[in-house]
Amino acid sequence: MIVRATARTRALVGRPDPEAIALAASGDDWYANVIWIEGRKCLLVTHADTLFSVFAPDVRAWQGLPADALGVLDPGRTIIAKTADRKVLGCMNDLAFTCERAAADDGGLAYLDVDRLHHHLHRNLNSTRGYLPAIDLAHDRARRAGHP
Amino acid sequence: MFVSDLRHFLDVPDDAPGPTLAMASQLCSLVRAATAGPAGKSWVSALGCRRRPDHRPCTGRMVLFRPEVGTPIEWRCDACGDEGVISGWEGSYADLRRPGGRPRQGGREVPVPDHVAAALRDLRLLDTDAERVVYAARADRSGQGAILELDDEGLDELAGFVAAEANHEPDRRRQKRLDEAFNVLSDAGTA
Repeated sequence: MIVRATARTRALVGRPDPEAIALAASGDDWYANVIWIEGRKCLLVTHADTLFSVFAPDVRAWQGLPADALGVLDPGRTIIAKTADRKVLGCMNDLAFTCERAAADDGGLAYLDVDRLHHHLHRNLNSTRGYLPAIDLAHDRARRAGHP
Repeated sequence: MFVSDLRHFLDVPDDAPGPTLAMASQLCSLVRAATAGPAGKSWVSALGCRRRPDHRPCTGRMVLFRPEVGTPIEWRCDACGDEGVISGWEGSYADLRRPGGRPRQGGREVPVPDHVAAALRDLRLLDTDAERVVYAARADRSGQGAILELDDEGLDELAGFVAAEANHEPDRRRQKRLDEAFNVLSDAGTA
């Protein structure tokens, strides 16, 4: 899995793999960005092809322990790379505003209804994906892959 | 010397004569640059001169001076000598000073061509931090481009704003300019 991380995110997860520079952008890439809401780090992760997004509020950096202290947590190797697709980055910028506004509407990050936010994010329409909601695009991909 | 009060130019109606709109836009840009850049010393910004001496565009850059305390901003073109002062800028939307007078964070220098610097100044959805970076750009020594000073995070953030605006832009020519700006910033991030 390739995670294309912004500079802020790379500061948390480490430098990009040198080999990742040669990897072309793909629809299967995930993009990760750290956004600050009320002084808290939040993580927004978006799938490049569908713009299917996951928001994690108030994330904390791993403190004190090396990443493999509890064994290899992810058997499939994750490659950290730099961001590549302008359209995905632009959409993530908009999604970040959506997350900030949702937190403000709910009375603060501590009261944010994350399920409702995800419901909204997955149904967000975007011109770069033909005004199709992310959840529908994800279902399409699943159907094409042979899932019922 | 053009002596102006910015408050007279902040609410210029859209149907005002073209030269008035251009002057209002230039004065706002000068105040943005002067308040985004350092105080207490003269510096050469990336802002170009709008005059056309002998019917040719002036190639000069704006030299700005903002005193430490609230007195008029002084500006001067380093080529044609056009100059002026602007008062009444404090507290306006063009005032980009950091609250509490905190100094700008250091970063690295990113050279960009003039047309990219102009495209960045033309962005409509910038937050104040990114706007500061864009307007604090100074002219490079060759006079052919601008130098942005920002860290990796700031570079990413600025690229994000450019990307978002390019996504929404219906005008293909402007989208192309924004794409070019995005590529320059992305390449700078990769370097």
